[in-house]
Amino acid sequence: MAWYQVKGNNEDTVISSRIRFARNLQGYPFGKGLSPEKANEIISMIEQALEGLDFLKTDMNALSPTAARALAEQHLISPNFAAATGPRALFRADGKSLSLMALEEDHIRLQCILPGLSLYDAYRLAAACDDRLDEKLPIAFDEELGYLTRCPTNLGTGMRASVMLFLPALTDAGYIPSLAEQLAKLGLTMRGTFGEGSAAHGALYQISNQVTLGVSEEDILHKLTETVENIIGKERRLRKAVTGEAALLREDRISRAEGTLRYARRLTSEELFSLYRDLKQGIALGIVTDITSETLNALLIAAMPAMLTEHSGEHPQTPAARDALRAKFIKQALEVKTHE
Amino acid sequence: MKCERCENDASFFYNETVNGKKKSLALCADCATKAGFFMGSAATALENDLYSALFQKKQPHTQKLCPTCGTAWQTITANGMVGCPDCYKTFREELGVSIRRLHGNTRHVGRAPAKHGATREKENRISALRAALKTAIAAENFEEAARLRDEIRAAEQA
Repeated sequence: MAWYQVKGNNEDTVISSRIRFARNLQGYPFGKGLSPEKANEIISMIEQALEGLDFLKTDMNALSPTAARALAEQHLISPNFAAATGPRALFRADGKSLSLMALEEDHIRLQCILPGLSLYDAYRLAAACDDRLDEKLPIAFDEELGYLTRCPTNLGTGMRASVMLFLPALTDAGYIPSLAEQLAKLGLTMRGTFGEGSAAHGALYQISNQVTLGVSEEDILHKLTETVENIIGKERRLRKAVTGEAALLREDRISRAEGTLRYARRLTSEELFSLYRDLKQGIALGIVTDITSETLNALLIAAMPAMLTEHSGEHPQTPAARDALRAKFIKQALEVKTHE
Repeated sequence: MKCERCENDASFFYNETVNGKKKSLALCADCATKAGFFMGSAATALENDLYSALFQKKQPHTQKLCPTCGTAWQTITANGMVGCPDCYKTFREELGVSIRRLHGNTRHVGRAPAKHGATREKENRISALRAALKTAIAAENFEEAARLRDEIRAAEQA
């Protein structure tokens, strides 16, 4: 099962945790400087290094553009990697939530993504795989600058740790800009990244470390985990503080959202994000009882444009047709879930 | 509204708020494509813009080429990315300024491949001891500070 289909901890506020390592091979150029022969050489070196670790290899050029985009929509690869041309491969070990992009911006981008607030677990899984890469491959490393990366912003640990958070109460209270400012002072970055309009409509934010050089992996994990726990506490207190008429209004909005999600005949992705936001809160508050948090996460991802086309086999030609397909798909998925 | 980069009408509007800082762009379809907005995530294109801007401020000039990949310094500053891992050796001095500006640090601490592991572990231990020494001095815990100082000396000679 994919990370988004599994129940995670802190599901009222946290979607997922992700660790990403950037690694490169000594003596091999990047991008246009890398000949197709050398590129394929790198891919087979990586394949050999990963032998026995249950990775499945996918040649990205053998995939349709839609199939590639669908992988990006599941956060298994980057949108850039999906859209690129030239030799590149994806290695996946689904059982361990690991994926490795060969020849993205860097020669190697290894990531582990887990549901909930699980940075340390994700780190351990990614680090174990990284140990294998270090052992088998000539990984470019410098005593002073650490892991050498294509972009100097990733030098040092080459590690980006990030947590995807769901913060509707902080968003409604207008706290996000000042929160972002405080995070910047701590060397952390906050952005709304879950497709277009996710911050405004879905209250989904990604918080990650900005600096990678001169701070150890443990420092980064510790700081990020502590900060996220703090933000979660704030969000929960704010949600609890809603009482009286405001609470009734919220309950009304949540119940209406459930009705819309189940019975709408057309849904834009923006509207889906805003329904997601209401329902996700409704589940946490115990107002919505027959949809689980992980079902809702899985629906949001499955209803992204390329994912929709991939699993329905239909290719809607207009935005309206796609919105109708999205509504139909959600209606069916929820009917199946409720009858199970 | 006109495109910010040419005379056409803008049809692509991009806004983003990172760390509380707002940034917006208005471009025509052609310029937006050229800027890489339809290649991947919009955020990446904007970030690349920002990074190359970081590089272009008062940079040293050099005619050197990287012996491994043949990349020139001008190419690195234009892309905000190096040509191969060895570029860090070739352009160490030139890159130092940008690296310090980006990270506020110039020395790696943390994981290392096994072959670099032994020295690295020692360095990490010493830097942890130094931090503890600072804390001890700040707390006027001089007994602990003296003990830590001796431990650092021993570790440095080991």
